[in-house]
Amino acid sequence: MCVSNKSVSQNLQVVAQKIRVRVLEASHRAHKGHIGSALSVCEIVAVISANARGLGTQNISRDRVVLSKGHAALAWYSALEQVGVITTDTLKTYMCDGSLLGTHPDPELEGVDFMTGSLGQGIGYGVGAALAGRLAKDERRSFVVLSDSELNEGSTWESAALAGQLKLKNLKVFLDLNGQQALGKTKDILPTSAAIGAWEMFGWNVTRVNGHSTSEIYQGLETHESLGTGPLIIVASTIAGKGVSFMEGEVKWHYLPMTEVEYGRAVDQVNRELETLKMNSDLS
Amino acid sequence: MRQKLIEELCKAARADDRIVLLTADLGFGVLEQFANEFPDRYFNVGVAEQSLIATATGLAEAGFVPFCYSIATFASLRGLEFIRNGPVAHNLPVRIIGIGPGMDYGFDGLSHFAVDDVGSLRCQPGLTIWTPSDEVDVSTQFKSVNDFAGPVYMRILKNSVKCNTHRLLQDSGIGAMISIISLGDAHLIGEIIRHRVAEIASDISHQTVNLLSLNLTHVIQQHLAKTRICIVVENHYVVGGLSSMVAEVVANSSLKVLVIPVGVESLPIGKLGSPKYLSERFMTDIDSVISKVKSELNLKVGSSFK
Repeated sequence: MCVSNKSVSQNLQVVAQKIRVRVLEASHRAHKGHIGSALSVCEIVAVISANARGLGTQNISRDRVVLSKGHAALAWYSALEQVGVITTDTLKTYMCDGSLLGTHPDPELEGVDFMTGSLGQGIGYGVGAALAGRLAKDERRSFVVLSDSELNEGSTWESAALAGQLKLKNLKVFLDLNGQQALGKTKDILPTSAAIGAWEMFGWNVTRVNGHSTSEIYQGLETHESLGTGPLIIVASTIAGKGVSFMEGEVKWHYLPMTEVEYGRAVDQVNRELETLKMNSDLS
Repeated sequence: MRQKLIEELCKAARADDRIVLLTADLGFGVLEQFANEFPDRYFNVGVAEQSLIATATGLAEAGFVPFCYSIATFASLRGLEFIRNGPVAHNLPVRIIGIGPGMDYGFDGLSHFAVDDVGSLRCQPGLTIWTPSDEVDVSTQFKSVNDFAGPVYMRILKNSVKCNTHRLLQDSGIGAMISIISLGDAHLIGEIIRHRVAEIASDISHQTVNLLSLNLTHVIQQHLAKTRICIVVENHYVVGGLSSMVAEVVANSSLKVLVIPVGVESLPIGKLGSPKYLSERFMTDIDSVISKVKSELNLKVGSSFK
């Protein structure tokens, strides 16, 4: 069982890196920003897309996925491609006229349950989806990807308090704690240190993980399945721009598109890491 | 009115287990019937209107029919962007119950006055505003309104209005020379105006709009085909609501109609009182409406057009 789990998580680490490659390719093709945010959540979306039951179907009992940080949509599209919900050709329509793949998710696209883009709204949809699962008495779960900048929004806390009060164990939130927001570091704008502790006070099960380790994220989910008592928040420590050394931790990559030279450097670095991960995965 | 609405909601919930009631911590003395009968389908989300709408959105996407209860201003305005991006954008059957249209909350002041809710919501595609004028409307229209596939904002008078006598705008073909159109909850004010206008002119119709949506525009256009003066009455600012809607219809057509808005004309602060007092203080003065009608009909003071 352990070997199997290790193998799964190593594969997911490879998938996450493939997502990272796609993010760079599509951003380059579209000459579009929001790269740092997307690179930050590659491991998170890899784990969610691999675990969400019924992803891409209209099955009423399917797990719901809410990308509350809608501006990381490109990472989610790339994850959907990795699990075969959308095709590579569809992914290539990112930011083309008439496409369903814009900077924020559109529910017309397979694998997108809710439109997001306005911060602090998605988690509320996730609470409703989890409550629906309870009322329907089925096994569905509700996965939400939350950015740390959404901790600024009062509505996030309305939903946090409600989910804790309702003890919605089937609600699983992944907090992408990269310490950055649009105009700077969270610590310089509205610090999140107190906010993290608040989840526990609201009755959530809080698990801290390395957000770039698919095995730690996956383990967080698994442990909660067996031992959890309330909603889960996986506080995932991440790095904005992860995998591209000149982007990591740099606020400007929230918005900037890449030049040709930058793209060449970035994709080369990410591809090299992908080859290493594949080799390690094959050896195991 | 709100009691009657909850009675109808309970009836519907007995037959439809998709119905869920969420409240943002309001409804004392009103919601107990539902809460007691359907404890598993009743949720107090706390004083959290954004969460109210977002949670309902998640429920509705999964096939439930959530009713969201609060005072009209809080239900409509506090969560406005959530209504726009949630039930409207996803075209989901979320029902938002807003209690207290206009200055219904009297001494509670502007924070509780829904004088801009219609203006904020009526431009949302697919959203219907339902504003019954009495308990008969609530009983007879609830089921069909609840059958709408998209979101509905229910603008409900706080206190009971048993039965008005009126016809629905939808039932009427061609209007009279002077047409009074009232938003459902302003029907009684519309009746007062009708009686005053009747003193100087005949051929008056008074119609009440219970369902307001973007689809209503062609109905209004048909209705005003032979109308020369249209007085629009609403518990709302004279800007943005039904008056604006009628004026838009007239401006976008070849109709030659003078639109006279009757509603809240200025910021209703600085004076508190009963809804009746506040109406006299802040709503369009009826004498000025009569003067405009006379002027349009080229009548001298004291004469009539009959």
